[in-house]
Amino acid sequence: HVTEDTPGLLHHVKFQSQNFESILMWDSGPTSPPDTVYSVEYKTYGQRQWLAKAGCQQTTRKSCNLTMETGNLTELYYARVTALSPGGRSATKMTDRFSPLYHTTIKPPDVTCVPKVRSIQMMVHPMPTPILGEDGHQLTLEKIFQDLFYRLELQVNRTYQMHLEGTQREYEFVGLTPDTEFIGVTTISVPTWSKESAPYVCRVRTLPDRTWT
Amino acid sequence: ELRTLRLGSCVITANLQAIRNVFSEIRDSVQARDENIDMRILRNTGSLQDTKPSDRCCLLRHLLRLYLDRVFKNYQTSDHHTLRIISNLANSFLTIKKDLGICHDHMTCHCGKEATEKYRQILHHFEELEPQAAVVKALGELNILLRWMEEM
Amino acid sequence: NGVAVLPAPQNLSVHSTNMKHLLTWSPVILPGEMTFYSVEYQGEYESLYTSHVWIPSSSCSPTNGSECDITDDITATVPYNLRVRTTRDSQTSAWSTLEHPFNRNSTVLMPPRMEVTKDGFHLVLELEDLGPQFEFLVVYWRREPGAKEHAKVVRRGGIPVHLETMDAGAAYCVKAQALVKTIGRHSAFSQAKCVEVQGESLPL
Repeated sequence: HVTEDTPGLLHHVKFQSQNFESILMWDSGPTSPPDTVYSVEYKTYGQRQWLAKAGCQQTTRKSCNLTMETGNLTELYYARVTALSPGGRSATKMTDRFSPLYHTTIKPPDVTCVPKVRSIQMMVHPMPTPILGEDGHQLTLEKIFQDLFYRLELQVNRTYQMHLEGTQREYEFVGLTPDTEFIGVTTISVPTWSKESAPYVCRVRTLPDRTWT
Repeated sequence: ELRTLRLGSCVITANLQAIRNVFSEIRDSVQARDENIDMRILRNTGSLQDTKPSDRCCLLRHLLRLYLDRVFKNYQTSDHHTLRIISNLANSFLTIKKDLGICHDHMTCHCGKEATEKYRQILHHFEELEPQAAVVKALGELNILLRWMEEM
Repeated sequence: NGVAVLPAPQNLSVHSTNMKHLLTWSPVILPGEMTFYSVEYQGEYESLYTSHVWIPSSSCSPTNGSECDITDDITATVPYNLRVRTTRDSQTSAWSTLEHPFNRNSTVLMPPRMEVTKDGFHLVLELEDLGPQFEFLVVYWRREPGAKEHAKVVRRGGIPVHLETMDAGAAYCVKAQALVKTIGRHSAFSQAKCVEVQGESLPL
């Protein structure tokens, strides 16, 4: 989307969003002087007015945090950046339509892997987001995505995997050989939105079996 | 991943994830053609969630008919890939509409005042626009309709 | 002006197994240069709402073989009309249309190939990778009178998966069937395969 453009002042205006932390980012163009300043506006799709983002006016930075401004998950948004060079040249570019629900990616889960003699426990910790619920509290990913589940794989001497999955937080792979190394891989999956997080990987060794020593 | 949609006493399944994945292939290009971003056809106030359960099946049936009768067939493109994507979407929506038709046959797709009024408003927003602009905007808002359905 | 001069292809038919759909026809034998064909399809939507609209196949418009993999074109569970014509330079034949529309829910679902192995006391299963539309229902049991069957859904083929931790000295059997949710059908169960675990039991 180009509203008005002096060629080469402004590129790649787009949102990057992880766990609903939504940052507007852009690049300066090949011909933009270093002291070019940028101003950010945003708007809800379907409404008329553009709103200036306080804190991102006349800035030399190339990113702007619009997390709170894009926090209503039932809405879609646009943002636009105006670049102004010292010589008075300017350019404005707009993002594609931004849907927080669709565009946000999922960070790897936060997991604690606890080895035992013949088992490994894996505990997944809750992941709060900046999105506020009606009660004003931060929503977790699990609250936002109703069909979110965890997928756990334990790689056994690189030849096969043990699989566990579910929505609970605690899992245990049992029937393992003592004093042996395993690789645990945990991902978050949201089928409805075809989202899958990058994996959290832990390398862990079961404890030696001292029963008979 | 099949999804169960509970629309009052009408219960159907649909592969919304597959439809969303297909739509994502053309979403940005279609939305980029929508130059009137001050206006929205599918508004939160007219959403399925905002409609009482017993009227949801009827409202959805009307919306699917709008897309089948006036959006998919009128979207102008010479790009074969887009044509195939729209065919996929249209045939998938047709499958859902047929399932809603079964509910209608079984008297579980009642059209109350609320559904009728909400659809009238949506149609009004649609018809406010120049025809091809309305088609482009409605197709660009397919992800809104999918999210409404996902939350049923 | 390229009006139908060439003979049209005959004997169109669709062979569909495990959600792979192949349209075939009898080749048109013509002297001289190579003969090409164009394939087009129309879903139920097009035939009901825009019957004049036919969509070029994503992989066979044109093609020089006498078959076309239409799997990527058949993307909804509705009847599809299919047609083929011969083309050579600017000349084309009349269209030949498949006698009966094809619906992917008629695909033949074969029991999945599988490999059952053991690693120590672990019962390990690897299923054939049939693609993203497939899941598998796996049933396994300890081979003894009155044994209880256990069931597990395996989401993907192509990777060895641990099924169960076995007891020493016991034999375990496994069978599996393929599930396709988009058409709401499943294959027959595969033949059962069994493995046995040697001797000593685990210390408590």
